[in-house]
Amino acid sequence: MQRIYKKKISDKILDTLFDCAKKAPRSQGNEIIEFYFVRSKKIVEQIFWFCPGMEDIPELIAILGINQKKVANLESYYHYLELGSCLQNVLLSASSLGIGSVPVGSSNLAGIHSLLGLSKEISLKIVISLGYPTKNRKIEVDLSQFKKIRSYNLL
Amino acid sequence: MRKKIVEKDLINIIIHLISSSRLLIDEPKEYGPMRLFSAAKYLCQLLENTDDQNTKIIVEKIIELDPIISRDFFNKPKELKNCLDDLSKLITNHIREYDE
Repeated sequence: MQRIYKKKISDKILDTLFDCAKKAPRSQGNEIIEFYFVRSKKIVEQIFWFCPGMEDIPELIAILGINQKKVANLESYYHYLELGSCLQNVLLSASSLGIGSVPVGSSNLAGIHSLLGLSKEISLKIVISLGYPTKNRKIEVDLSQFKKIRSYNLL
Repeated sequence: MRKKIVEKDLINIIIHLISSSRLLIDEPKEYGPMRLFSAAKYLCQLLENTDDQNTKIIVEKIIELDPIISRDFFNKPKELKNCLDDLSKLITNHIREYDE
């Protein structure tokens, strides 16, 4: 069930991932996105069982959430745009560093929130599993649907 | 040699099932069989070192099929049905031998 990772994610790389996540375009002075990086083997394993969508126990787990106390209008979708940018930065920076990453949609966020003992104003949104791939897994992506350009905007 | 099954292992599988139960309310129905099969796989992993040959055959087959079910048969209900029917037959044959 648990993969044995030959290479560990160093503190420096962890800092880089966090730095890239933080530098995503966000509203100035309104730090609504919360970042959690979990690398304790015990807690990572506990989180794994709350994530039915996760295939293996990863080496590192990143979780992004929204601090609802800092959000003026909860109905607004802007904070979701910011969260999406932060998520994308984690995925892209991980990929550029040779680290495999999967945003895990099927995660029991209420369970994880309680497990981490977070305050109630924090609303967790997405879990990302991270780790160096154990083997080169060839992933085939069907790009045929993108062969036709449906519209072209010449501004 | 048999693996000692500890309460923690079973609690983890219970967490997986409860989490799946919660998530499936909002997820596409295709995830249902996958989640149940994963739970079966986790139970099989606890029985991996069984001394009984019939149990071993069932357990190994389920562990082997899990990635195929979740990656190849997702969104392929016909193939998934055939696969689960064949597996059910294999299990039946081996539990019969088990009873004898």
